[in-house]
Amino acid sequence: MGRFKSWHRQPLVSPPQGVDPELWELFGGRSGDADPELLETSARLRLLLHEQAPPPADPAYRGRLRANLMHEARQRRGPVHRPRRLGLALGSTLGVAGLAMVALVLVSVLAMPWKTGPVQVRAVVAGQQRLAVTSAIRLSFNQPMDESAVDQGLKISPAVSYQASWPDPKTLVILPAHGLAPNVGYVVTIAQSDARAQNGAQASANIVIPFGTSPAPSAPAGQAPTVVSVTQEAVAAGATSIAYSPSGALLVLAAGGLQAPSPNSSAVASPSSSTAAGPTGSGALYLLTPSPREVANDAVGAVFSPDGQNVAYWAPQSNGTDELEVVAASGSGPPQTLAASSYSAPGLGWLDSTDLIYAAAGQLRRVSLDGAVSAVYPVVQLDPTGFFALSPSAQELFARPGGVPTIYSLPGGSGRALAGLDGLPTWSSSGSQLAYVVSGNGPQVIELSSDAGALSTVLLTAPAGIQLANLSFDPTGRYLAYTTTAAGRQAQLGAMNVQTQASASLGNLAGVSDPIWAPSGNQLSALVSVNGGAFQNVDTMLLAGTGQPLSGGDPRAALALSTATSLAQLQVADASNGLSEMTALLAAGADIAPSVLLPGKFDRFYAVSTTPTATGATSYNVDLRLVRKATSSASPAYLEELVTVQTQGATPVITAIAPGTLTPVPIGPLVVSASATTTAAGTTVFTIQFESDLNQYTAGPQSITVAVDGQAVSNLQFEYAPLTRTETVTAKSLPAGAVTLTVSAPLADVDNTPMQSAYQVALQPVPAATG
Amino acid sequence: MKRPHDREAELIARAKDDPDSFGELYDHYFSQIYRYVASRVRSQAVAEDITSEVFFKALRAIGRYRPSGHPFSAWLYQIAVNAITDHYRSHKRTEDSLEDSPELVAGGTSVDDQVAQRMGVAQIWQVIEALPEQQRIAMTLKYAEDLALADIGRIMGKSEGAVKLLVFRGTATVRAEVLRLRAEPERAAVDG
Repeated sequence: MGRFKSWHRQPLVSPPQGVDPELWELFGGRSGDADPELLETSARLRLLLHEQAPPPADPAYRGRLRANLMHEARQRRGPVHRPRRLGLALGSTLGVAGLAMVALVLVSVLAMPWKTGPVQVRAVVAGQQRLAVTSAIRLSFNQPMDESAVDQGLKISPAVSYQASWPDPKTLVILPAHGLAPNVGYVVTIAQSDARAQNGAQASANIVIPFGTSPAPSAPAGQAPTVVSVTQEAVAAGATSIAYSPSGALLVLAAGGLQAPSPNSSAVASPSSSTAAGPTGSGALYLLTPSPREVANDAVGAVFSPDGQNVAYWAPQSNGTDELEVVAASGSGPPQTLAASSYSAPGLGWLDSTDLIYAAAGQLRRVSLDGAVSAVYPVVQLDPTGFFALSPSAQELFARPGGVPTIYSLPGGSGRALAGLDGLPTWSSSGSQLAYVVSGNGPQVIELSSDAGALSTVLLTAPAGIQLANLSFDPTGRYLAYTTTAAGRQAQLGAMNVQTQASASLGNLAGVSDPIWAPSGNQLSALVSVNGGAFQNVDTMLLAGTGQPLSGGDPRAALALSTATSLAQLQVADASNGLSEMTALLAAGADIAPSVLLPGKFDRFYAVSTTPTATGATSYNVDLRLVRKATSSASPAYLEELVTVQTQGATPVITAIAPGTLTPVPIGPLVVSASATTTAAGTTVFTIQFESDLNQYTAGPQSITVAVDGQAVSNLQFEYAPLTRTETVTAKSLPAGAVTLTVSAPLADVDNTPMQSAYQVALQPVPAATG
Repeated sequence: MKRPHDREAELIARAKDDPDSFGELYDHYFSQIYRYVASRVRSQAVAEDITSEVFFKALRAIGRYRPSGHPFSAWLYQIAVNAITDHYRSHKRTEDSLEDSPELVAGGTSVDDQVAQRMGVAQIWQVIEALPEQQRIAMTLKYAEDLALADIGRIMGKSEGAVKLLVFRGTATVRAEVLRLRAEPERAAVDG
């Protein structure tokens, strides 16, 4: 330590009062060879930095963070028991209570009639605990707002980067740039002083909107389905709707009869307005399987009974009324007339396999196959057309009282309005999920509502000018088909994975409408226009990639990161089966920095460690190191992130990803530390730790040498541990003398950048610790 | 009677599965971590965001935490250091400028005291903030948080010797910068 100036001629045995002992020793206090200026600077720095303590945390923030942590902690332990409805959240946990209570306050605000006065806001996300990570956050104010003030006062905690836009002065849409993190409690706040309307009105308090994101799926997230093959099963003139029976029989309603299938339907141009006669048009009912046959010669709105035994439909009569008829799907026996309605093709649905409900004379009526009729569900208000739609579970009903799209919970639940709903909603087969298109001032979106409306998520936002329609759930509720149309462009049939919101086009299909899934779930049929809309093919697509995990991948094999999509995917290189793509998104189950999800973020990635989670387990923890070069800084460096992926069994399913943090490390091998120990048997082990990963094949006698009294030692053994970046060099026996370790090029890092300057150190091996 | 260290070890073990135990850890370490983060970013909003990030990451990773002989706080500091680094990297230090920080007039009469009075704590911080990142982290953890060098090594993934070097070099740089700033007015007086 000759660089230290002499200070204390006589070493002190202890530091002066108030001086950190370690710093005192660091600057030579103990040895007496101290630098007094550095010691004084050191003491001054410590004093200054201690005196300038930041103000304590806001107690409200501290409590809120604790509540969110507790909420997440409880979600993470064991099987997750989530409240089915928002109201139950109050009774679940203390951690959720804070969130739910604020949500209830907001809900109560939501229920109050708005009037000019203080600024108020409603947000669908408020109080949600399973918001999709890709959701946009829409805030609707009760009056035109000072947009710049709100933008300035807007804060999301934990912080996310986002884009804020104002479709109109009363609506703020916040779109997280890289999505939200899964399983995190967020709070959107707008300071009271910034929640300012154009007329100067302010909110009565800070606006606080808490919500939580859904946990990432623990199973393979899956992608949107892809088309394996397409068959044109039939062509019909004026076809308006199709339906599958529970056994897979396909029913088509067509005004002009059946003809032979016409090939290449998708290549036929068709104006979007040419899709037959609309959903209420009448025609003959045909069962296409096992062989095409007519089951009714004039029908509207045909629906299969839940057991698939019967088909109910409206038969228009010459006197202007419609008769409700039921015919056996087998074709045995004539149709049976059960009831009549003065409406034209009103709503019709099966409550169970023996009872139907229909609209007549302003009310809903129930009719059994034996003809018994009774009025039901008086709470439901109908519009003048008598239209309604019944959920597959018969627990919800959609109607438009006064023109307002409304969902009723049966039998007596009050309706909830779905503002902005466009067209018809669709339920999953279990009835637990409801999807619908919302049109506002901005682009159309598909929203998913679940838990009886308590939770709402934006599944898909259409680009400007694109119209969404014809939503249809697959039998499992995991996939949703839809159509898109745009002026001057051919219609598209699309499908999305509801869980991940991954969507894909299934093809450009002229005038495509009425997509419906086969009960098997691997086929999707739709009406497609032929010859300018004069006919419709029923195109049936066999689908693949429906989210089933791939098997055969060996988690111990090399791992690679694909940046082909906006969400990075892990791929597993299976030595025996070639490359098989892992269907799970990297984001699945992940607490992972958004940076990882950016395409091109990393130059390379590799597994540095794979260990079974337990002895004999088929689950592995795979440590991946993701690295890129930082070129902007003055001194080049790698930025890297260590991500731990847990795989499960032979199936490469990501079950957990540990957080990673981007950390700079120097380019080229750089020794952090070197040490030497000698075992009782006389073996000397040199341990060299490096800052960055090595190309381990460059580590050997050509780059790492040991010398005793200047004489090189031979027969060294080399071993590299990528996870700890430690090279171990073992010498069986060393002669007595001065030991020198030298590390130099051609030792290179994993990017093959050679060591910039040699490292040499004199080491005195110490006895290895025992026990 | 259990020693505090034993009790903490038990608490950490329970916190892997028991939310309430994690809550106890949070209660114990919140102020410490928040103070450290707030001293580094100087914006309440950013400090809150980063502190939230620290504890959420700790919650998600505590199942993999293994006692290493270092205090649990070192692990939390490690997460905090990384979070702050990420924050600065992504925000380029614009929003958390220290220039608006209130100055503290230090007591004492030494030359350094006088310089410190002229510079103010904010400027001292600026000197620290201008240090290479590794030096800055080591300096802050040592001077502001009074952590042991070995624990800082655990936090930064370095050996204790490497941390000593970082603190030594950082302190020397601060010292040199103080001297430079002290010399400037004197030169100005001579030249003028």
